Amino acid sequence: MHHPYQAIETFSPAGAQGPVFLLAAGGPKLYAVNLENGAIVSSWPDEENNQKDDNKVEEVAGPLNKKRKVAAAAEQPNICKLTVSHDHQHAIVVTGEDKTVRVFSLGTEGELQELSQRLMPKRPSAVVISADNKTIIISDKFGDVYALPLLTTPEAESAFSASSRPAAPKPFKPAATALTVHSGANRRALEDQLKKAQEQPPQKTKEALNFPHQLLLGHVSLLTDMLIARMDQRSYIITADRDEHIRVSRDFPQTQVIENFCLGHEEFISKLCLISPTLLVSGGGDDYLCVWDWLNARLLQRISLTSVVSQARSKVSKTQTGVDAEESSSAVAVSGLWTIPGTDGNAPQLLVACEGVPALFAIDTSRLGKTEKDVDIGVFTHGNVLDVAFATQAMIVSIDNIHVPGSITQVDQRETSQARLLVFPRSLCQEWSERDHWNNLLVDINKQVVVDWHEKALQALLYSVHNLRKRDNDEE
Amino acid sequence: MPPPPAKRQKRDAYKAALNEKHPEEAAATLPKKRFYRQRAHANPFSDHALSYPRTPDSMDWSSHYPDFVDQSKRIEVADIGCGFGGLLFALSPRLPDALMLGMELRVSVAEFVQEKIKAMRVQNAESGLYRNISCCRANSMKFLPNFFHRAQLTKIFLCFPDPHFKARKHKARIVSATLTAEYAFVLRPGGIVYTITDVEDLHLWMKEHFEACPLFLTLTSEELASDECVEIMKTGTEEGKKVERNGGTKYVACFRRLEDPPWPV
Ligand SMILES: C[S@@+](CC[C@H](N)C(=O)[O-])C[C@H]1O[C@@H](n2cnc3c(N)ncnc32)[C@H](O)[C@@H]1O
Repeated sequence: MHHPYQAIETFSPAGAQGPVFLLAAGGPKLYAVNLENGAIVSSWPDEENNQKDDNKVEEVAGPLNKKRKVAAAAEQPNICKLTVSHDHQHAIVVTGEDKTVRVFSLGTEGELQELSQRLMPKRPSAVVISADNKTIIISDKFGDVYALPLLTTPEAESAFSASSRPAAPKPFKPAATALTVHSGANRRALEDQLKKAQEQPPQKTKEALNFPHQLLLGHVSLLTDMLIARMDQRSYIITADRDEHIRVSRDFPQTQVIENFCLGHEEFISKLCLISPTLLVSGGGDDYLCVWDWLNARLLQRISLTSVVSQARSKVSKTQTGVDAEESSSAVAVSGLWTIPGTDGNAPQLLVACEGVPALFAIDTSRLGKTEKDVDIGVFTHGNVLDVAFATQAMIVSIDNIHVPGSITQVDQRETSQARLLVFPRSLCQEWSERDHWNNLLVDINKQVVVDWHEKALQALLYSVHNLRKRDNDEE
Repeated sequence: MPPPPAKRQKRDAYKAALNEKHPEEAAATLPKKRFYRQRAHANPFSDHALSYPRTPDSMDWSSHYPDFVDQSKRIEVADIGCGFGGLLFALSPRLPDALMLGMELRVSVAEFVQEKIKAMRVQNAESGLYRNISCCRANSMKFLPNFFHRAQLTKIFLCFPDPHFKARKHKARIVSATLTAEYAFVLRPGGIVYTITDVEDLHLWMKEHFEACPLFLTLTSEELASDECVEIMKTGTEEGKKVERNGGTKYVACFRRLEDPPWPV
């Protein structure tokens, strides 16, 4: 069975009339597929270059050759985020293990060209692009949000590092004197500092970024999601964290002004989604979604997911054995929220995916933000959903083909290999049916052997959201 | 970090014995610090199984300030990282109408302050002192907006914060490039952040970050001289006393919360 596509996106660089391409990330690899004819038009990293690299490893490796090669393959960083700029001219690709943000240009034929690589201080967790397509905004797992110019030149970078380098090395001054030290640990830190200062001249800290960037804001928590919202010509950055906070700040250059916090979740928040200019939906470790009047920090509604999740779980446990009871009753972890415009004058739909739940839930957004408690939720069962992308006519869903639907740990032993990418017609009002025409277009990308996979690494790549849950801690 | 079980046991045994012998006196007996000491640093990034209100409105303060229950009064002074609570006891009689809360990350230290407040209230039953102060165990770096509404506070004290000398740990400092925005959020325009430390570099660090935040203006030395809280902060805190004994220097810096800037056009 092939490695699943953990992240997908669509783009149409020649505008709405031009061809639509699918961008699919499988492990460390990225493919662009023309959705008019199904051709894989571009891939990254370049296969040829890769070969050369492999050879190099072998040449120098000597007796350790085998181990080294395995290590090299395992070290290929996996792609964890894909974002396409509003004008569809660029894609931002984040690889997790090496904390690197890459910018690609998107050609009119779907060509991918890597323009830059920037190493962030901490692992990025969400990426958005400013309305003018000039700035990338990145949140990280240390709680900080940075802005970087989308495009950078070597000149800009060297100008930046020249200006940020201290003019003359400052004479070392310890951060405290023995008089002021409060604890044994501090005293030792101070002694260390003094010793190091004698041994070597002060260096720039490892975390200093050597390209133009700006720290916009920070939480003392792990940031999980972020978006930009506009109201009355004003722009805001909304950030969500593992400690149940949703913070509404003014956008750059006034990010120090916090307008409010939307508080109400009892577990971590993992996803945010705007369903109208005024309404925000959030989800995470709670078995409900929150609907907010975000600008006024008012919680309007809690939408329970309990029954639809158990419905989806029971559907699979009936059709196949293998998902153990413990897992199928485990807590909800929302892993995806998307909106799709409604068809034929209908309101947009909110789509919801939960980790290890073999379904996509669909909610009519015209029912949200009202007082009603019971909102109909459509349940579409098709295996564990990894990501969703939209084209004008259809929706593409990436499914975990490796694990048993409903499980995040058990490998599916059945022989029949599942398609990893499925297409559905846009309208969700009727029962979904796969569209033959469209699915024919995905034959090549579904056949593509991406990379070898190892179950543990794959689990970590596909299912990280539930790890945000706080464990019962023995501290009081 | 809870204290080692042995210490807790000893503390409980001591309390029980006291209670048995003289139940009335026990209520007025000050807690002994030696039963509540804890390792100097608790990690502000870890989860700690803390309890904190979901929202500021969901917090029931009546058990903290029983004498103010019907007055729908809100807390307006926060002592962040209050340690053993010296500042709260010194401020209480000087600002008798203001509700004040000490926030302390170390469990035992917070318990000590709570016990001491109880005992001091009993000891001062007639004068009614110390009814306006309380303390809770909290990680203020993460959960300030869970306790306080926007623009609720008039004063925030950051007294002798842990210096965290290592560069790698600078984000563990109670003042950082990004936390100034959170202090600005809970402070009303005109409200003041008070800082004091004996570590010159930390003083410069705190100044640098509050000065870099356009929502704050540094108080002049004349303004500092005319604010009685500055003097109380120098002499009332446990750390302030310790530095005094050692003949160290105390660096003070205070910052006034400005109005939010107009939106850019
Ligand atoms: C050096 S002591 C100063 C105590 C007191 N302010 C004084 O001046 O005597 C710093 C205190 O801050 C507390 N602290 C550190 N980080 C904290 C946090 N995130 N939230 C609450 N308290 C914290 C520590 O536990 C410690 O008791």
